[in-house]
Amino acid sequence: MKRRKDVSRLSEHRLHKKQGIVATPLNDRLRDQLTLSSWGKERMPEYLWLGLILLYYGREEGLEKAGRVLLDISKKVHNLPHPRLSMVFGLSDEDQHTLFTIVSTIIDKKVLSPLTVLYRPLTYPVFNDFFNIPQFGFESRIKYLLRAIEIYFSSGSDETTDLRFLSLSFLIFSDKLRVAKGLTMTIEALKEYPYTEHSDEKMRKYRPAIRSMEGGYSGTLENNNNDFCKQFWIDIGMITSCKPVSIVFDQNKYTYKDFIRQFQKTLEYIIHSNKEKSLAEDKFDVIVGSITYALKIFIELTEKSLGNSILGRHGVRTIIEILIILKYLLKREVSNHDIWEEYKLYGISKYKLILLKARETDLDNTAHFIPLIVDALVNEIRWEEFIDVDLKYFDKHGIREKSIEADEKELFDLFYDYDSSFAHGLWGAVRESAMVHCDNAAHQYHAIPDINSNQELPDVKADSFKTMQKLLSLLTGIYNVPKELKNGYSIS
Amino acid sequence: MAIQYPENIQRFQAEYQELIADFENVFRTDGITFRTIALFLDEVKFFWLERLDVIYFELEELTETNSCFVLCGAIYLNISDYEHFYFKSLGDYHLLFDPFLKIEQFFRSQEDRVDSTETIEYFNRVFSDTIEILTHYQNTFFILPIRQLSVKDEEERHELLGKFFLNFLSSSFDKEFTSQDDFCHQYETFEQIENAMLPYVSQKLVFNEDDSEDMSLREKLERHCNTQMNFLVLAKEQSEPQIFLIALYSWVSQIMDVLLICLYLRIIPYIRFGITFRYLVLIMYTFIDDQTLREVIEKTIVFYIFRKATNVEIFENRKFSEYSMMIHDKNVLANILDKMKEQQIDIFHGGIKQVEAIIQEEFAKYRKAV
Repeated sequence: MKRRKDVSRLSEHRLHKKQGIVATPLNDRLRDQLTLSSWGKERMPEYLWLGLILLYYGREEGLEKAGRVLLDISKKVHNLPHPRLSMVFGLSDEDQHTLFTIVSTIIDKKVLSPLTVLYRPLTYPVFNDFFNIPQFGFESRIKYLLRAIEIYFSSGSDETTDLRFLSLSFLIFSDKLRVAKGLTMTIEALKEYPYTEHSDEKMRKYRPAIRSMEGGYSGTLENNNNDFCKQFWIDIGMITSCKPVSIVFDQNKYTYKDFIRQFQKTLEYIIHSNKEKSLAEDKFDVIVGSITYALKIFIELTEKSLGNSILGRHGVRTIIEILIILKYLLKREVSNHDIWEEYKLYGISKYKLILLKARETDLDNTAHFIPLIVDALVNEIRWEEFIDVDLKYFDKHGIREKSIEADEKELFDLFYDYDSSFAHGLWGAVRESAMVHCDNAAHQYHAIPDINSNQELPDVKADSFKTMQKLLSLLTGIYNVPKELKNGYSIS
Repeated sequence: MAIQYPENIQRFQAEYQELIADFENVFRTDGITFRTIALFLDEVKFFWLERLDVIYFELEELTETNSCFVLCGAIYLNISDYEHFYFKSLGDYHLLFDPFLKIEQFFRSQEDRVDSTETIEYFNRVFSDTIEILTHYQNTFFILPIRQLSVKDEEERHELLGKFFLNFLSSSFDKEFTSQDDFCHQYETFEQIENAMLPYVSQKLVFNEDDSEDMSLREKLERHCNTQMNFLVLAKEQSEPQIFLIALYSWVSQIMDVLLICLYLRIIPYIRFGITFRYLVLIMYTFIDDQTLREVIEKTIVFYIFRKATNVEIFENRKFSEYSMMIHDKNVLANILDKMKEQQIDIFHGGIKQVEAIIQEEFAKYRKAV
């Protein structure tokens, strides 16, 4: 997989064993000093009015006009600390009047008209007196506003950097921002930015300088009006519709019928040719039984077309776990001959605990836990009074350690862990499988619950098949099978 | 916590009443002008758009098992003429297009393009009627943004209506028109148009409620120009074929639009206005092969017959709340339709008098019940 240059490698992270955290280099060094502030969510709505000017007039004319507006405001409206819209609306009616007169003298009134959709006459009468144009339909204004939001939402785009530059220029006009003489690059960026085209090589230095300056300055602002931005997102979000986008994955068309049939035949052969072991040997029970269990899951996956489903992930995870545990048991039996029986008893002891609890509860007739059956199974190997309940991992090792010993760490790292998220319903899995992307910038590209099951998942059948192949070779490595069976595996 | 549909829709009626009350004050202080109305319309639009998703959901639940009628072909209900009695008489739920959204376009155009005094006067009537509904009949009639619930893309809808209109035009003249311009190039006067039209259509085409079949097209259209609000201003500097198209398009597209909206929302149009109904009759045979549309149109026709056959006297001196409660669980519409079925009446091929008799017989029962 291609490496991303903008993020750190696993080896660059730092492990804090006691806290159980693998920390990023940035968090590791600055955790206490970091205050995260999002441009899109927390600042963009404040400057959108300037963005509308840029959008309407284009970069060159827009920067020139917006610059003039900000310069005039800095001279005539002394109570405005920053060109944030919340601060503009916080001015007295008289100051607002002065400010809007400046704006409407330099730019066409219809430029800011889209904002009247959100800042409406009952609450913002002065703004509406200036910029509400009845002929500009409500839906058209929303449409225009959406376009602007889409353009300025991303923090690092060229257009957004222009906007962030404008917010800084007001500070320079009003003498609130001074740059130390030695910072030549910053001074150059501020001076040259509006006159340099984005295609110019120099902008590769200027843009980050502008963005970091704006970001840094915004952190020092005392009057951050988060409620204003929150309300902005609520209002624009409520009046626009979600645009759900789901990803469609192709279904793996292989049925694996021949492979399954061959696998079944192999198991059948092994069972018949090892009947004696099947009658008396725990090892045989565990190996053949567990592999049969894995095969049944694989058959369900293929026959019921579960490859693209959440349950498909549950299935492949179990198949992988069976492979890891069998390889682990095989390694450990050298030093512990009883490990196969212990393994069976471990599993049964888990059943016993549930049974004990069930005996103290009234179960519904419809419950899928049937005490009568479980009772029989628990007492199958030995009387339950001689079975302790083991609350720990089998053999005291977790599945990760077992995978290392079984030489299947990669399978654990990539697939077992990933599919465990689905089995436990962790957020990553929920987000991937049960939520779809909303392609509406006004909704901050949030995720929508996929109640109609439109979102599919990549097919797990190929990975399940590879693991089943490993199980088959493990099986035929332990028990002899005829050459015809060994060579006959194919997929279709 | 258990809620009962349409809990949200009901709550929104109360909230809407508050919004209107706020603007009543604004209108009192700032006056009712095109500008104050346009600002009011912004608030109305925002109000509904904010609530659209949940309204749509509740309406879908409501229409699943109930007959929900929506007043079509009229801007507002008109309580003062007992229209609420008529509307309440058939069906389970009764919906109204938000009347302000219906007249929005007048106030979004340049003031000099319409007769502003007449338009503001009309707005006043709509405003009073809406306040009356929200104050005294809240939750008996639901005012909803019906159009916004069903039309996601106005441009697309406009195109669709344009295509349908062109088809209608071509079939009315038994001639293929490629566009409205094409039509205008082929005729110059109302008389030429009338002569070229199929006699059946020419006879049925009306533009005013009391147009008679033997009137000429010119007479009908000239009367239309003089009676329709703002039509004279619109028709200024238009050629005769253009005037004909404007007038015809407004009626044909209106009924087509109504059918599309109602089909999408699974609601039934209640049409009381004669011209709208006549246009429904003109176009309905194109749609009745579809069982769903057939049933919808059948109910619309029954309701129209009821409206025309029922004298207002039966409602006079009657308390609306009592009438409304009495009629509520009587399944009048289902009874009428059952009887029509028993008598093997196919309303699309006649039997209007029989249906009228069935309706009167049905309502006579309830008259006694009060």
